[in-house]
Amino acid sequence: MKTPKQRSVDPATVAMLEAAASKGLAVAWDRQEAMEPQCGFGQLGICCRNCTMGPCRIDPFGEGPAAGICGADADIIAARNLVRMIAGGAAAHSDHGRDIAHTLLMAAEDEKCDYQVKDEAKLRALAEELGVKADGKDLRQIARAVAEIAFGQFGQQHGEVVFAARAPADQQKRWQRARVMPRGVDREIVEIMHRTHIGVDNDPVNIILQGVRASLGDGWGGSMIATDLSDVLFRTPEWVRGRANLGVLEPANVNIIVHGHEPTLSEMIVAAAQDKEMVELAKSQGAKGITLSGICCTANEILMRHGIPVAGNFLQQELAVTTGVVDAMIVDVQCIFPALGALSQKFHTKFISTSPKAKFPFAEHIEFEESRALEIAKRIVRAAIENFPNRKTEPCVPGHSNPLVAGFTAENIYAMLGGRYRPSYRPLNDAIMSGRLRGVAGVVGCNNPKHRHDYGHTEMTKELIRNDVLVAVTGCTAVADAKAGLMCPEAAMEYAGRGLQEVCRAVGAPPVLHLGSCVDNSRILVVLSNMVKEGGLGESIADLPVAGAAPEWMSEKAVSIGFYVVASGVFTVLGEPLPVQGAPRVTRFVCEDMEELFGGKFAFEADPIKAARLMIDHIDAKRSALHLPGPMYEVPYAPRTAVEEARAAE
Amino acid sequence: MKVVIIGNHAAGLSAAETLRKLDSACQITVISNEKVPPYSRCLIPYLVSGEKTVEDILFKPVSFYEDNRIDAMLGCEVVRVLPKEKQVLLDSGERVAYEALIVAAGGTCSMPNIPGIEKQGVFGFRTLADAERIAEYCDGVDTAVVLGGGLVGLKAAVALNERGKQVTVAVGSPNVLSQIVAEPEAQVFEEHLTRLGIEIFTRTNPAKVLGDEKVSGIETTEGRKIEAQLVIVGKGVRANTQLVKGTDIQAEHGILIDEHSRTSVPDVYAAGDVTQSPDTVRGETWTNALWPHAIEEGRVAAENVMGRDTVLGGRTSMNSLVLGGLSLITSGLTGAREKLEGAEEITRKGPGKTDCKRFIFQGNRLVGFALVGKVDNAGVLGSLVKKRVDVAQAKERIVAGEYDFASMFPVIRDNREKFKEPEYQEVFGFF
Amino acid sequence: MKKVYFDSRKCLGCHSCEFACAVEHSESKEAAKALLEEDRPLPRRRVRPVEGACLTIGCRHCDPAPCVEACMAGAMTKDADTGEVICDTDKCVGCWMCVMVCPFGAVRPGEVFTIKCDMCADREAGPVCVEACPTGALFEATADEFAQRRKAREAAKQAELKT
Repeated sequence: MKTPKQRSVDPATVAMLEAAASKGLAVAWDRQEAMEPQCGFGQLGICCRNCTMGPCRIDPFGEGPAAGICGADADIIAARNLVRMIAGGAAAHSDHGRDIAHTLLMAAEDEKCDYQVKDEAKLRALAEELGVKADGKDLRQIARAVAEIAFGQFGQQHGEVVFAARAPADQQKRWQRARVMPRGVDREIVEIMHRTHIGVDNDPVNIILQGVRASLGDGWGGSMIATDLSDVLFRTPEWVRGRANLGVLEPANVNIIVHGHEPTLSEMIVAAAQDKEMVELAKSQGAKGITLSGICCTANEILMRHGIPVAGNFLQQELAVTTGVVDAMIVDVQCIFPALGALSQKFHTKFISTSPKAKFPFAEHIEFEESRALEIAKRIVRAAIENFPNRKTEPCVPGHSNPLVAGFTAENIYAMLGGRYRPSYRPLNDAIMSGRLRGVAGVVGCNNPKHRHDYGHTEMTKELIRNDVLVAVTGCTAVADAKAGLMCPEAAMEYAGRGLQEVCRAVGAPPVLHLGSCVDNSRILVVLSNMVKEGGLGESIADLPVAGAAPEWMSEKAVSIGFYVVASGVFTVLGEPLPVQGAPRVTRFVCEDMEELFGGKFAFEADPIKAARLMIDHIDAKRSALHLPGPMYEVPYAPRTAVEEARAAE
Repeated sequence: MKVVIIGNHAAGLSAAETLRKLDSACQITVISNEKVPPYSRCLIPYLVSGEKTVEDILFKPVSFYEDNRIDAMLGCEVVRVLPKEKQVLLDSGERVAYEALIVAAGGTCSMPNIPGIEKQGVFGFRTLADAERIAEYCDGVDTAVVLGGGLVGLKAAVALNERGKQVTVAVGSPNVLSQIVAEPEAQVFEEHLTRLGIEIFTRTNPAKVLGDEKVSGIETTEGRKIEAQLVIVGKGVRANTQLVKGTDIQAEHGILIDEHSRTSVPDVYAAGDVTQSPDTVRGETWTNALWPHAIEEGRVAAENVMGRDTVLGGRTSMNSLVLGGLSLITSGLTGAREKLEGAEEITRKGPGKTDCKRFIFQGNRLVGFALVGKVDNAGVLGSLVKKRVDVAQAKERIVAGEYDFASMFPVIRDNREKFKEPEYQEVFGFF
Repeated sequence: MKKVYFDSRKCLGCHSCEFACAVEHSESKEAAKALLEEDRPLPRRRVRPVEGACLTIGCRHCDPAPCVEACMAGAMTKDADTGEVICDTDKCVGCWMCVMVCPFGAVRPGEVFTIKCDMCADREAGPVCVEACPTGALFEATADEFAQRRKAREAAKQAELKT
């Protein structure tokens, strides 16, 4: 059994793991250990359940079966399994995007709707980009036209997903050449399911290329729509201060946690929780006030737009309930443990599900309808408040939370670097070209109890910024880095290399930029495209001195993200390997051959320091290909690898 | 070769069987004061509870002696061993000569020396005859007292309880099972037995047995009277060392044997409950009256008689007890009074109400454990105890209840010189 | 006699041996039906993690067998010809003496009587775990065959070290 400190580097998590153990509560880490040894066939991707002639599996040692009953070998099986993961991930992001598009359409059609366009500038910019003529139309009509185009993207059967045009021309050409330009968001997902049906596509590379296509439909389609229309509806984020970690829970207050992904719900909960009537109700129940906080990407959505505190990331969801002070855990979709139901029963916590798509054991279901959004949000908040007197355990809230600055977007990075009156990517490109900044890295993804919680995120981030690589983060990485104190401007002085320090000091920014939730990885695509367009760093994203990583990923969404990022030209290191290693040809394709087609490829490396070195080496190679000078300030290659770290800990 | 074995229970029959396996020609004589086929002593409670018949509790077929060409002298009491003459003297005056002798004469119930102990309805609880007499006497009896809260006493109490009797157990110690467990486990058992309807008085000793011809109850040293139509005595067992009295065969609480099951006199071996044998955890000889030890000592004695140089394995006290569905396994120094210098005791309760584990460490060695409730993998821990393995690296896992073979494998592998049995080699071989 | 041996290098931790074992020792001997049986079928072997690798352990059919020596009911016997250690469940009284002494934890307390590997006595084709193992990590062999295989592995290891 691992000790709490071996399970996580986050002090709040360690404290809560100790508390959970003393209460005899099993959490994800315990269940993971009970699952060991985990099945090697699954890990290597070489079992197939796609028809009932099977299940089949391939013996990777070569003595047993080399092919399934239909004759599919390890490569075919692994490729099929892999792209089905992409289908799952792309579906999740895109269905989220569809809900946002639907909400914008509602807002456009009904002036009494609780949702209204809050960011007129972004709407008009989008309208222009999408060719919606503004002539004589009022804002509502423009919104309606934009929403309909966005909505149409999902069911589009021909042509190209509209936002693919945002990519550099060279990258678009690569997609066309490989015949992976996404036609419609839904179509590509459906085609994956068709192709992986028994007896359809049995060329591993051809299968994976369809996976690439669906992932691009996610990144440059479903996810991008989700991000942009969320900005239109709820306002494009601005720099904002906040706090992160379980210490934001306030025992004397009514604590409401929103957990999940879609901002439609959380935006309304924010409004309801700030409602005077609700605050008064909370006081009448003996509470001092209401503390709203978030977990997972819902947290990132409302942090970015409102500075609402973050209670924790993915693996902390159970620990939040374990504090005993959470009066309601309100969830919508994605990354929500069904274990929360039974766990909440051991406390007074009301576990409230809201989406008709996502119901949970032992949850109270209060269905959220966009047409009665505020009314239902108030009902949910009221339920939380009325649960306050029912607390039955001693509060056990760890005293840890860190300040942070968040709210970066593709739009305001212009302003940040160029100043309000001269917004431009020029200074960013110049800093890179001069070698003051070595490059840019995107570090994203989930938590995974197989990996020491937050260790991969924070150590990789520290190593990158120490080497003057500006780091952009989203999702659970962002929360991990925030908790570790890497997301405040002062962090540059403590952790960043000299060049990055100089940039941070000049613009007053932290060395790690929070770009939002996991659907907001689309923002990173736009930033990279803008860097190419600004000029001086090559013709395509593949030429940029940039790299990506997902040190602790676990979800199908992460697979989809990984593929659209790689297919967009970015070298990406995964801390947990893709489940393909039992299939040599598939492994070679994703780790080598993809580079020739798209400019990006995968690498698997569990040690975050070694992974960061791979990224930095890649950035340096891209720099020299662009004939850029070496980094302005060399950094000694020193830090300990994870293995050394573990040894030192012993 | 003529081998004489005194005793026809676990140790004696194990010796006899081994002798025959190694040598088809040798002459084997088994002498026993019991005139019964080879039954399992540990199962006699089932005769009292009525769950099993005599046939059910035979642990060798009735034809065992015949099959193995053993000369069985049943119903004959050996009164003295005569090592100088290489003979044994029977109560009939007959003498039986031997070339090698294996004394597996077992023990006798200790009966407290109190007034009335001879009354009708007061029984020891060791032999088949005891059990049959009790079972017969039971009809028409409603209340019973068991004197002693050890393994034998509690098994008798549960057997009578299952037969529908109102049972009271009078225990002299502060807790039941004090020889093998400490307070935490004892409490679980006391609660469990109480739930079954058995009444338990601790720190209670009998002063006299009441009644006329037949027993009607007991009076305790504190003057309390407990009504009982039946009294079973489970106050320990005395090794039958009297048959070597006055000889050069050394005995203390039992006949002393070395790791070859040899006594201090050549050609005389001893095995089973009659012995005081090496205890690797305690580091001295001890009277561990245990079934597996009896079997092993019998086998080792026979092998050495046949000229094979085999020795007893690492060994210490161990017990497995199931009372009314609740299991207990102990090993090593777990008794309430066995406090070792510098020993560290760790008790873990749960997850279930009756689950309780206690581990006793001395430095980096596990010197004892008691598991109540869930007893899986007890043998893995037991091997670490009796082989005196340094478990420093695995202490946390043990205490957390993770002591299955795989969890302990790193420790076992790192101490491979102590795990020489071929079965371990099979596992090491491909790991 | 043949015994079941284990090569950890080939084990992927798929638990197929456990699963097949439990099904083989169910009433119906069919997976879907076995799940519904009142007496939950239990596997006679377990796959567990050891330092990142896997170890599956079942009865080693020891010689001499501690469980046979400890059995006071005469239920546990070692077959003189096959060497198999078999528990006669009619005689087993559930005293767990065998559990107390099994150094591999391969003898488990069941609901009523002891549960241990019986080398799939009902199966003509031999132990089901060997057949269920998709990688040959579990294999049946005589002591000599095992020794040979072990030697070959050692040699391969040495050769690997040299290169």
